[in-house]
Amino acid sequence: MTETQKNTIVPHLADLARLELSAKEEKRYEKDIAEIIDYVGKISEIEASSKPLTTTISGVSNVTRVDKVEQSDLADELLVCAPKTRDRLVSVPKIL
Amino acid sequence: MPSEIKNLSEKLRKGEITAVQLLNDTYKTIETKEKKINAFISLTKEQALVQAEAVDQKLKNGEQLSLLVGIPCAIKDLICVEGTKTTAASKMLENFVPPYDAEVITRLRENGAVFAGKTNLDEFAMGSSTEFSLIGPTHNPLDEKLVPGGSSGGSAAAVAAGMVPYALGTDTGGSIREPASFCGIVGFKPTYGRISRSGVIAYASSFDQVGPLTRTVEDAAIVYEAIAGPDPKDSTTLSGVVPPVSPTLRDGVKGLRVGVPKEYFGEGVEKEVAKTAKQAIEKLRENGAIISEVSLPLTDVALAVYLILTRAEASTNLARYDGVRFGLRSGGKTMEEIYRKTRGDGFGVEVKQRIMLGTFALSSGYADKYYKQATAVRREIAKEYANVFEGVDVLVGPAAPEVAFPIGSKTDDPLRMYAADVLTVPVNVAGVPAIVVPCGRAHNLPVGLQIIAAQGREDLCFRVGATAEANNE
Repeated sequence: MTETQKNTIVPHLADLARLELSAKEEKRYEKDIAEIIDYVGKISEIEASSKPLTTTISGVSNVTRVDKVEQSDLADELLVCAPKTRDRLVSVPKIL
Repeated sequence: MPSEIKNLSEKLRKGEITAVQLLNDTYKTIETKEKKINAFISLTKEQALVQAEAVDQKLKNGEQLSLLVGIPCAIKDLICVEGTKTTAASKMLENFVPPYDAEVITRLRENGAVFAGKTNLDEFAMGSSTEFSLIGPTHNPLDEKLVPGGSSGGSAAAVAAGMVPYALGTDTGGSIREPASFCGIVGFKPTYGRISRSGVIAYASSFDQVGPLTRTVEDAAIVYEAIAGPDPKDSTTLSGVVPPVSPTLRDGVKGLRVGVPKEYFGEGVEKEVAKTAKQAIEKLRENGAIISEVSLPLTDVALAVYLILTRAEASTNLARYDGVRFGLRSGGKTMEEIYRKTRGDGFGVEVKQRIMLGTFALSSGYADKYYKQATAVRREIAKEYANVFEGVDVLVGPAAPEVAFPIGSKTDDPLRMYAADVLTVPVNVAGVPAIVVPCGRAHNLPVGLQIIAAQGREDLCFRVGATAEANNE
């Protein structure tokens, strides 16, 4: 990774991750993130095949169940957790 | 060491103490020590009293009851307990009250457990010192200037300080085992998939596991057996009956093949810590174990693999905290503003850094080199462990490369902080079980011996752990 790429990466990553950062935070992260990216680069020295992609290490995969409808009585309790509601709906600013 | 849970259970059955009295005693102890330790985010007094009263009624009726009945415990505030604030030590969930229990909580309730309170942690389980928290750091009960370890530091401190006989923690890269080592108690992480993660706030889904922290190995076995087992709500749980670990607990180590990886005693491990661990291993030899040196060359890259994969998974898991349906909402004019301000506001410094690193590892142009390559190397690391377990039954070494460090000494240096987990992290990468048992001191502070077994062989962890514990008495 070039020095220029390293310097612009924090605002780019913050944007992708939807994180609003202060200028002070951005500066702090620049150094730490560059250091960590440098450190983890050592994995490229290891010969290993990524096919098939291993996302879990226990061997469990593609666990399925019958598509059966079940009743849940949690809807109203879950609504209590929402920051803003109206009727039985979560209220957010208009999107369009 | 005799089981404290069994001891308390007998007292309750015989009527020497009631569950309510036991609970009141627990709160007295907590109140005396909490100012110095700061182990708890919240005490769930009302709920606990209701639980204890129900237990006393059952005891009066002479019902057949489980060992855990009436015994107060502490729960890491990353695990949802219905009706109690579950904060993940984060401003993001400061006022979040889940309307459901985690599966492990349901199982403890079925066993009549009493929940005394929710313990402190590093925010979203991201840390090795329990310093990155909404309520400030937890202090090591053995020396309040030192960290208890993390991220399950509150649980470890509550147990080490004698507040409760057991606590639940979670372990993604060592978050149960490293605090156990720093506080001089027992900590256990099962095989990945052995315990349900349903209702446990997710950090890195292919690494996270719940486990017990206790003062004795037998108590850890009792709690483990009560909560382990498949759960249809968590499809990463292993199917089939959980093999019990209690029956072989006292079988000793005669004839067991114990491997000592030379990489676990490398330069990064503090001399006195290495010496103490080696002495504990010698004692196992005297007990009849067959000790041999082995090598796990990929240990050197395990931390890098771990850093990439956990951050990648965390960036995905923490995307749900968007200010929309639950948790904090900041800003309010547009959706974009809500997302960015909520997440900028609600997450702490370490959490945001990890999200960004994870985003980086998964982003276009870098995903192949970082994320995909890390998954490939992960598989090689798991293979390396499986191969070594063809020749030995367990691996042993120090749980941490150092003893508990001073509060504030590593918070400005992420890579130095992560190095505290260099001996625990490979275990999560490989998905194998491991127990940490106190084995002596270095610089007058606890040293934990880590005992690792192959996938599914929790019984060996407990068996060797019980022997190491007896040697340390």
